[in-house]
Amino acid sequence: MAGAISLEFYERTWRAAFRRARSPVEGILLPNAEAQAIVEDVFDRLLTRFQQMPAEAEFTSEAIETSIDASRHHIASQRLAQGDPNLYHNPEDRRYPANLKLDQLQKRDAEDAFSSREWNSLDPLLRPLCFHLLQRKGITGADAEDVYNETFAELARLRPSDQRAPIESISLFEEIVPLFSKMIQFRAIDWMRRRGAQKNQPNTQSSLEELTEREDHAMQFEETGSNPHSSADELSFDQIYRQCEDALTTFEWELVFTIHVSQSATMGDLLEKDHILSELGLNSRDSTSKKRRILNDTLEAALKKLAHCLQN
Amino acid sequence: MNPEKKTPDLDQLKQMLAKSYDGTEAQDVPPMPDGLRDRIADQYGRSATTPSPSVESQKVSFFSAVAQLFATPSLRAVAAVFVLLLVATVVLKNIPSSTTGTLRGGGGNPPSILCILHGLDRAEQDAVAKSGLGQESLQTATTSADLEAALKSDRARIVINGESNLILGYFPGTDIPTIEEPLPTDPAALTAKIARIAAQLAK
Repeated sequence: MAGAISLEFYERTWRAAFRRARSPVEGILLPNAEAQAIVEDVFDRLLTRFQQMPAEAEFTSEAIETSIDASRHHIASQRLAQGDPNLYHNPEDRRYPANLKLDQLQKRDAEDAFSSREWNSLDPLLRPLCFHLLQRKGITGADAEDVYNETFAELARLRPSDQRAPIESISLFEEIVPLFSKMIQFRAIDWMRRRGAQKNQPNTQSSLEELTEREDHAMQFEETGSNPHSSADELSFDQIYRQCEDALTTFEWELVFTIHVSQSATMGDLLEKDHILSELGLNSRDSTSKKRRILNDTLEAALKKLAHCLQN
Repeated sequence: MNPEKKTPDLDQLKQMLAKSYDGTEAQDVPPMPDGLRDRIADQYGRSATTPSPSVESQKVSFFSAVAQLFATPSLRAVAAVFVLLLVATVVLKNIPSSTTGTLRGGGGNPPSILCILHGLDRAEQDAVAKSGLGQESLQTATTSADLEAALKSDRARIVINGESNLILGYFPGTDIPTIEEPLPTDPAALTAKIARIAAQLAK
C-alpha cells in the first residue's frame, strides 16, 4: 500500500459484498435497499475494527463473509418473525415449488428425534434433485435409491461429536440443496469405493485432483442447480481466504489477490511499487527481466501453496 | 523454477480465483454511498477527502460527455489531453484564491495542481505539447529523474504515468502519493477518475 489509498479497491469490494448480501444463497434475492443497508452496516463495522488500512485480501474476505452472514441472519429472523418461509425467495428459482418451514424441520421431539410432518414434504422435494445428480455420476436404479435413502436418513441423524444433526447446521431452507448435494456426493464416493473394492481396485482418492481428473474414475464436484459458491471449483474468495489464510504470508496474499483475484494490477504495475520490490529483495536498478522472474517465481510458489491447501 | 511451465492444476486455480470475486460494475448494483467513501478516504487516506456528490457528479458528467467523443482506447492520449485541459480550465479555476495565494509563484494566480505526464509515447507528448496548456499547469517528465524532480514541487500533483499505468495524487508538501488508481484504458473512466482526484486534491 505504501501509504496510498485506492478508493477503487473499496468500490469493487463494496460491489462484491453487495452481490453476496443480495443473494447469500442461491434461490434468495433481497431487495436492493435491504442488501445495501446490510453492506453499509458491515463496512461501518469493518472500518471501526480496522483503524489502520488492512491488507486488501483480508478486508475483502471479511467484507464478503460478514455480508453473507449478516444477510442470512436478517433473512432467517424476518422469515421467523413474519411466519413466511418464502420471504425473499427468488421467484425465478424453479428448482422446487416452495420452501418448507425450516423451524419445523429442525424441531426435535421429546426423544430428540425430528418427527415433524414437514419431513414428509421434504422427501419429494429432494428426491428429483438428487437422483438427477446421482444419474450424472453414473449411479442409477436401486443403487441410486440406496445412496439417496442413506443420505436422507443421515440428514436427521445426530452426530456423536456434537449431538447435532446436519439439518440443524443451516439457517435458511435454500441451504438444504447445497448441503444435501454435498452429502450425496460423499455418499456417492463411498458407494464408488465399495464398488471399487469389490472389483479389487483399490482407490484411495486422497485428493480433489484424483477425484476430478482421473478419466477412469471421474467424480465431478460440480453442483449445477445448487449453491454456486459451494462446489470445490467455485469457492468464493472469503471461503478460499478463510480456509488457507495461514498457508500464505500477507505479502503472498497481496500478490495472489492483486494479480489473480481482483486483477487490479499487472505484474508490471506491481514491479513499479517500492514495497513490492523491497519484499522481493529487489531494487529499482535491477533489470526488468530479473524483476519479472523473481516476481513470477514468488507468485507461482504462493499459488502452489494455495493449491496444496485447497486440496487438503 | 521455469515461469513458463504452468501445471494444469495451477491454471484451474487461477480460474477459480478469478471467479471467486465479482467486483465489476453493473446497473443493478448501487455505488458505494458517498458518506462511506468519504469515511474511507478520511480514515485510510489521511487528509484525503472525497468531493461532495454534487460537485463530483457535475464534473464527471461534464468530462464523460467530452470523453464520449473518443470511442477507442487508442485515443486514450487525446482524451487525456482533454482531461488535462479541463482540469486546468475548470477545476483549477474553482480553487479558492486563499489556497492558491499561499503557493509560490508571485504574480497572478498559479494553479495549485501540477499535472505531470510520464511514460507517454512521443505522439502522446506532442499532442500534449500542442494542447496549449501552460507550463505552470503541466509538466512532461521524460525520464525517471525528471519525474523525481517534478515531484519535488510543493504543489498538489497528479502524475499520469503511462509506464506503470497508474494515476497518483499528491497533496501539497507530501512526497508519498495519497491517492493511487490504476490508469484505465477506457477514456470515460479515465476522465472521471482524474476529475475526481483533481477535485480531492483541490479541496
